[in-house]
Amino acid sequence: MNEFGFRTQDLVENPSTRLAVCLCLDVSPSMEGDPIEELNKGTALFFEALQKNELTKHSVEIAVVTFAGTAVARQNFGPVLQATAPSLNIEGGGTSLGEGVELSLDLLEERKKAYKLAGIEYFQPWLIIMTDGEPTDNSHLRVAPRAADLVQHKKLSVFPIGVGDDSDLETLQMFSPKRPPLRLKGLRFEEFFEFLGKSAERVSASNPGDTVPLDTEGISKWAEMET
Amino acid sequence: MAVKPSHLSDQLGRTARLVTRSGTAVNLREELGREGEGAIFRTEKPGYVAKVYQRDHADTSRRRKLEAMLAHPLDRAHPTSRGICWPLAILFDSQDRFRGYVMQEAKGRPMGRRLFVKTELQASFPTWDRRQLVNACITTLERIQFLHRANVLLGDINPENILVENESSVWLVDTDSYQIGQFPCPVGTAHFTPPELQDAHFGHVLRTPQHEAFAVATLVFMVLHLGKPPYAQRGGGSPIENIRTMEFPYPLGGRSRRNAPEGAWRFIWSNLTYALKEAFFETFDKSCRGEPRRTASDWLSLLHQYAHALDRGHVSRELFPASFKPVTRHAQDKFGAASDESGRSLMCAACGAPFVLSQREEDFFRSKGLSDPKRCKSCRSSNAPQPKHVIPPITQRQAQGRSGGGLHVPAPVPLRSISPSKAVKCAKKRAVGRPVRARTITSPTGQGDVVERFLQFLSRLFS
Repeated sequence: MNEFGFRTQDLVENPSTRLAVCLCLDVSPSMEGDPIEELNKGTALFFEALQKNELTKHSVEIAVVTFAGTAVARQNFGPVLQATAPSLNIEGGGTSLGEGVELSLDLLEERKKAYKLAGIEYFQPWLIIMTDGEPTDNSHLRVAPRAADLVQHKKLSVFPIGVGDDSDLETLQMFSPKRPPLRLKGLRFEEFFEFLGKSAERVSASNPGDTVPLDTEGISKWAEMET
Repeated sequence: MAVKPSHLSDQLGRTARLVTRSGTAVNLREELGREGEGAIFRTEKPGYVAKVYQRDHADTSRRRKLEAMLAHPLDRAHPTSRGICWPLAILFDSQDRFRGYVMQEAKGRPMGRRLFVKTELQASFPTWDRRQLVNACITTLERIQFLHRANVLLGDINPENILVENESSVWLVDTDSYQIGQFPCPVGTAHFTPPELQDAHFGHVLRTPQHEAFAVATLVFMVLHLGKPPYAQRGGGSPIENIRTMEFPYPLGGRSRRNAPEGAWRFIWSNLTYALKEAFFETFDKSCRGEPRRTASDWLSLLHQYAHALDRGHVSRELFPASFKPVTRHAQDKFGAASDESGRSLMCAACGAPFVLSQREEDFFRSKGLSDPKRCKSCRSSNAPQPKHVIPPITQRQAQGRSGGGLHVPAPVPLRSISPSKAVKCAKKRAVGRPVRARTITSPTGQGDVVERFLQFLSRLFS
């Protein structure tokens, strides 16, 4: 057993190029009720789709970070076939978007190191940020430049998603200089995660460095396209 | 596969009916797959499929290339031709527009998905060991060699267009992208592209056999290493960057950079024949930049030689060997003291702990005419008693090594068993004047007993 433990056994036995996907999810009280229920259903479907698809099941790795007052890593990166979708609950203490993203970026960095150590190739990793309100602290001022810098250097792909009419897209924009934030239509988490799964499949079928066109037509199924 | 409504079929009209140049009707059935440039459909004739291009891909140059391919059909009498999905007829729609072509239906699943993920390989071929893996590689190379002999270069050799049904049935698909005559192969896969072509625009370049040879070598490497690309390594740049700089991480004799990736890959490499390793090294290492590369025929010879070594038990038959290949005396004599690895792991007959016999120590013992010490250094110096009986075989665990360089202590593994005929050969060499100490041989198959008794018998004969 090497120093990283069981999570790297797969890196040794499966030489497929990896796509690391980090879900950074708001679980503050405003998400209570239908929103968090739909979010849970959506993530469950996402995991299932990834596990079933021939390409993604050996290439995608997921981590799940939740944030409210503090940020918690619910699940660290590992083979998706061995992962189960977490069941998320509401937490209190505010909405610390910055802390959530910071923890996500830290997990991604750590995983990239493991890839490099094992000589595993990886696609540009994904950070999915989903939040329904305004952040209640200023941690994002500190963290957003870090994310933006990674995006500019093509080391990260950010999907910023605002949930509900009150979501603050301006703050989300700070993390994603290339991809504009999108507002989820109603609570269409399932459609969003379906789109994400199909996109993951396209990436898994590509070669690292390729520009993979995502299904932009499909986006209108779940997102309000803002002008 | 579920039948999906296809907008291509809609484009063609509800009957999805195409014709060949000679007017033969080809009716499309269910869609089998779809890529950027078109889709593959079954036809009403079993064993034959049609590739139908998207409107903007069905252009004149593509048609002319297909016509050139039709003008050079494969020799159908040759059994190898059966594994290559060469165009058989060009297809037109009711308005006489070029739409695609007919070919044989391939069987199997892409090599990249079937062989290159351990769990998939084990699920598909639970009984395979290296011997079948090498057979599959040979089957594939035979098809490539066949094409090369017909002056066709594949261009985009990669594990997604090689379909594996079993070790003796492999299908090459996407043949319409091949390079034939003046028609280039418009695509490529970075991993299989030689350093000198990494910046090229594939559609504007005619590849040479030397370019292709890099791809062939990469393919053979990846098959033998169960999907690991040759330039994937610990630290360093990405594999593509490493192709450009030709930073090849596997060792050959004294020439080595020791940053092969973690895991079984170093053991796999070690257990190849020297000739194979040399061939890979001379293709991939920066010290050999510009040198002519092995051809498909060369690789076939090397693979047959490797298969032979597998059959004889000279190298591990395991798909994922758990240890380095022990350095044989033969290798020592032939290649000098330098070996791939810095030491061999043995079991101490006195205290039972694993210990490493370094190259230097081994040289020392050889120079005194002695075989391997049976005890670790501390037991030797304290003169701990050797038990008379052989230590029972240790169950093999996956050896977890640390980063290379210096001594390296993998988990204890049994020594490779020597076949009785080889034992006789070795024993005879040592016959005159020197005592023969039977090596402590254990074997995972439990045949150690028999071999051990036979060797003791021999040693009594010659001492």
